[in-house]
Amino acid sequence: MLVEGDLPNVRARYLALRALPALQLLEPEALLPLAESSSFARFRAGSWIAREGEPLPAVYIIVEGRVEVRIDTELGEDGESARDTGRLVADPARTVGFVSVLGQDPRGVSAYAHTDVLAMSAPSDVVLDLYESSFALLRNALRNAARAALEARRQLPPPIDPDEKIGEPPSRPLTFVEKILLNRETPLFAGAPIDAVADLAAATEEVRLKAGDLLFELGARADFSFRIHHGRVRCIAERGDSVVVGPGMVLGGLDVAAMLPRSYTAEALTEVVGFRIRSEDFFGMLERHPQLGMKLLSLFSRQIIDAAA
Amino acid sequence: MLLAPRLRKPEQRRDAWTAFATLFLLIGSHQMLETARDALFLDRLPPERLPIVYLLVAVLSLGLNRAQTRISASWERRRTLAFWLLAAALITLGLWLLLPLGAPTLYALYAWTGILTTLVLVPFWTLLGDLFTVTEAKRVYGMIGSGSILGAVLGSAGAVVVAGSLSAEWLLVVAAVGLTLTATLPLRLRPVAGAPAPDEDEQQGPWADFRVLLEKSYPRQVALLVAVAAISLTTGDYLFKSAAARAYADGELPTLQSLLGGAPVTLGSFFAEVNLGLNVLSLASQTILLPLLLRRVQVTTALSVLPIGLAAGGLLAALGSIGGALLVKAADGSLKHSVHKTGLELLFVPMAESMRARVRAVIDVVAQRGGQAMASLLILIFGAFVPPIAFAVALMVTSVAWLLTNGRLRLSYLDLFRRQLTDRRRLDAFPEVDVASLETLVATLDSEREGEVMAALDVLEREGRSRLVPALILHHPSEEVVARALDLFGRAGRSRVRGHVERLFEHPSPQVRTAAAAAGAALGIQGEAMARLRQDADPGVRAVGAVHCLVLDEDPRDLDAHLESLIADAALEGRVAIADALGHYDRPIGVSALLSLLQDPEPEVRSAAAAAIRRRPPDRDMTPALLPLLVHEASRRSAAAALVHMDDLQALEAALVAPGTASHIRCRLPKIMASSEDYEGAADRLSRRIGEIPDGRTRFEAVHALEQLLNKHPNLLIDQQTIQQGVEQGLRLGFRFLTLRRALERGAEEDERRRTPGLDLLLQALHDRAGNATGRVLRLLGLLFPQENFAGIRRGLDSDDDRRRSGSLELLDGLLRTPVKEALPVLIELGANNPNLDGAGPFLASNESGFIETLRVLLKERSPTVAALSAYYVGELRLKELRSEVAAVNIEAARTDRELALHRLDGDREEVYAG
Repeated sequence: MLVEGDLPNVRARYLALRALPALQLLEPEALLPLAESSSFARFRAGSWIAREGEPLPAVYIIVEGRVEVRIDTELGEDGESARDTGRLVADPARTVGFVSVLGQDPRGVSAYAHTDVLAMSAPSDVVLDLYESSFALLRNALRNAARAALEARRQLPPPIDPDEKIGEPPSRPLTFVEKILLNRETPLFAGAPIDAVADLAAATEEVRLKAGDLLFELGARADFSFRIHHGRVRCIAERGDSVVVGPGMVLGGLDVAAMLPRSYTAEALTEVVGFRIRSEDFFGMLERHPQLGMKLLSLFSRQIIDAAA
Repeated sequence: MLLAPRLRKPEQRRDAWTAFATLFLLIGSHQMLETARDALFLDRLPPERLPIVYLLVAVLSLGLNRAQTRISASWERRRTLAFWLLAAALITLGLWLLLPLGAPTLYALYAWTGILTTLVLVPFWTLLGDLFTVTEAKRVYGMIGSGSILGAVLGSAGAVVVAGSLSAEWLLVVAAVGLTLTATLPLRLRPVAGAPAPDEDEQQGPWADFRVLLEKSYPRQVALLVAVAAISLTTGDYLFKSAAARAYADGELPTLQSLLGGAPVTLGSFFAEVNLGLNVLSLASQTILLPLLLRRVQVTTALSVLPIGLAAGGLLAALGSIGGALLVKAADGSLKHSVHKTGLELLFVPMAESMRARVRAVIDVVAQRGGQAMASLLILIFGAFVPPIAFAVALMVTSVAWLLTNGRLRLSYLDLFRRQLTDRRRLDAFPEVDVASLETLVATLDSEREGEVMAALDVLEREGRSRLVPALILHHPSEEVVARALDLFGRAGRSRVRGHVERLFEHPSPQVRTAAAAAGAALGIQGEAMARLRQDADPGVRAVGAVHCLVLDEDPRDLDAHLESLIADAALEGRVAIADALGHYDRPIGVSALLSLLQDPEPEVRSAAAAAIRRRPPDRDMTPALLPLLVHEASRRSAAAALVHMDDLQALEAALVAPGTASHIRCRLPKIMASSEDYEGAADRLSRRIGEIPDGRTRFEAVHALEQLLNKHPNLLIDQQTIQQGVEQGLRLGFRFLTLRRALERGAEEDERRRTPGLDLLLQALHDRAGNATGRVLRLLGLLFPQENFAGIRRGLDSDDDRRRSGSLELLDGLLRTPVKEALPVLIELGANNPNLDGAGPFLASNESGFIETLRVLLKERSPTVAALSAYYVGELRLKELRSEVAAVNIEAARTDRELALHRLDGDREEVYAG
């Protein structure tokens, strides 16, 4: 056990944070501000750490003890038993409230201490500030959230309505401004600063695939995401199940964010026109516009919650 | 200003006008009541009875406050005000009915006119304090306050009309009707909750409120100001009246009056005309001087105008000039009910709601009336035997005391906002490592949890205590832990663990064998064991073994060629391992191999090479090769760390401003420079070059890096002049984008066909740019005022909480000087509700151009996004007159949109848009 008694100094807090699997990839410089801003908190068995519908003043990292977080919010506790209860494990970092606070979910979270609990807490607004100002923290949170979202939706993207029409393919490549207009239609970029959308548009490469062409293969390195503009793509997971997706769908984004190999194979079913964005360019854009990174985190969190609800 | 309060929301504007009307009717009714009171009281009772009613007013005011709190504490504030206004109307009507009772009713009437203002004005201003933030209050209180002055003027005139045709008693009925009408207005205001319920253990009542007043610094200083002002004003009033009486007795009054242009010579008409003149002056102060003061200076400075006037008048009077007494009266009459009264009300607004509700009445009753009573008592005691000059000196002394109180209050006023914006982040330093902490850390190495052991290894290395890590950790079940420990031993030069390391050459895990080989190389293990690694089944292990053997065996002149050959033959893992292995030598060997690895097509290899460079002694020749690695996420972190290790500020500075540096690389350089050991040099280079940085994003990063340097080194000196220039440049830029945006908006208002998706994007882009310029200005100001919490101010400005936002604006107002002080708030609000951008001052370089001319300017913008959006928009509108400007757009990112626009401009005639 890393923490005995209160050990109130920042080293003890840093040590406790460093030991968390979800934070182990972080450089000390990125983790130190979080350690500096947090404090230890104890909860008796049977007490509520947070109640859904109430403002969440702080986020908690469970150091010792068992905490249950109710479905429709999130669960972070010290073992796998959370799944046995039929409730959601949304945060692999044994945390309470991070997904809600970083995802700015107004519903908050219900967290109940099953045993006596020792936790580290950090004020919600400070955590938001830290994640907005430190891209390393934000990138790490995106990686963890993307992994959880991938797991929650069982690797494959949601299918489309089979009757949905795909229309004619565009006759000419889109211009820079047309790509901006197109990007602005996505939930992530609606209302985003123009420079952010323009950065992405400038880095976007238009790709045309024939029916039967592979977009990417299961297990390949994930270094780009792909937004379908026209056509249909079949996505086939490792266990053989598949879905068909169409215009507007972004493929491979979660793999990229999770820094994992491709979780499925994507193959063109029809002629496909779409836009490829390299992960370097996408995350470079998020680093320049951290508010969009927070919004993406919010979208990932919503996917986790929706998939589990 | 009087007719157009600059408020963003229509409901706020409605509130402002409703408050104006309430005050106008209330004061008008009160004026009639006072006229009736004077006429009835002085007609039937001797003036010597007046001190009795003064005392009665003071006592009743205190008691009334207590009763008022009991009755309406938990009511919604609008209802409270409406209730007391209606009660006031009924009481006034009751007094009219009781007039036949004679003297008792007259005493009650006199006292009632005194306490009526406390009864309704305290809840009125408390309600307004809840409705408006400080920033809003500064905009509308002047207008609302003018309702009071207009009410007084028209109320007096109305009283004259009524009294001319009816007896004075009927003025009570008219006043009651006026108060009833006033009572209907508060419910038109937005609802505001009542004061928060006090804690159970919180003491209540006037005495408890008085104790709160004494305990809290800011309300106490406001109370002191109110008391000193009351003493000074009462003394001034006495000085003027006694001077006028003497002049009248000496027959000098006509001369005075002739100066004022009047003909009659009675004392009454003299006062009447003076009062008329002062009312006009007061109205002018309220509508012209007050808005000007509130825009230019802080509230506390505005509150200094009246005491300065009184002190000057006192000085003249002390020198024996009758003009001194007139100046005192002029200052009093023109400023007391305008600048002074509104300024005082503004001082209450930033108080917490619960605090304001508790201390407002106490200050009004105790400080205001107490001050008046004290001054009256002293005048009563000393007036008969002290020469008039003594009162002039007393006025000067009290006015100076007033000014000093203002000065102290200014600091407290700003502190109030600072406290509201206090950064709640707790930063305690990483403490010196002590024995207990070390015990915990070393004990943690025994943990079975991999994460805890890794964390402890990290902390021990970070604290320079690697030697405390026992060699037995190499037997830990986790491969990750063993590999991490081997890395740590290698870097720490723990030669005594060689035996343990050598045994791990046979470990089943390739990860551990690779780490062992690297540690073995670093620890100088030679001979058969090392040579065997060259035959290992794992390519990574083989590569490390090969590198080490080459380094040991080869002539340094041949080493590079052999390494190049090894790299050419190696697969991905092998190249990563070679790069890693080269990082274990503190001699400059394998430099060309590392340079080659830095250009490897695989990001993992490039990253490993950068990490290796970081572990070796700095070699600044590597700097140019490391810069491109900043582009890619996989190699960015290690490249940045290696560049920090190089500490080559000169090369980084050159890359920062060189036009050929890619923007994705450039924007990362300020942060790397700020990590230099030579932080003063870094700050100097960054601040000097900030104006030469070609792109806005990097300029922003440079400012951010300077902020971080200042946070870390508070005594760091940064060239203030350069930063000031940056602030001014940012303001000019911000207003330029605002002006361009407005011209386009106006164009779209003129012709709805100009509203297209392209216009939306263009407007948004200009809006964003103005916002970016504002953000940069705020950060630069943070560098100019390092002692202020500008991060908190920025968060406050971004906040959805109007009061936090207003607090930030007020702090800025207190810190900045003209013209930045006036311009920055306009830019922060992006010109909302300010069509002429009043306040932009010298930062507004040019007036708004026409629609076509604005597009012509935008097509020449350096920004690829703006140029592309403009070209696209011109194409959407088919504006043929801009064809040559579109054709001249020569930015690669805008190429496709230029072509599309030209195609549209040259294309189908049926679609031509007339513009």
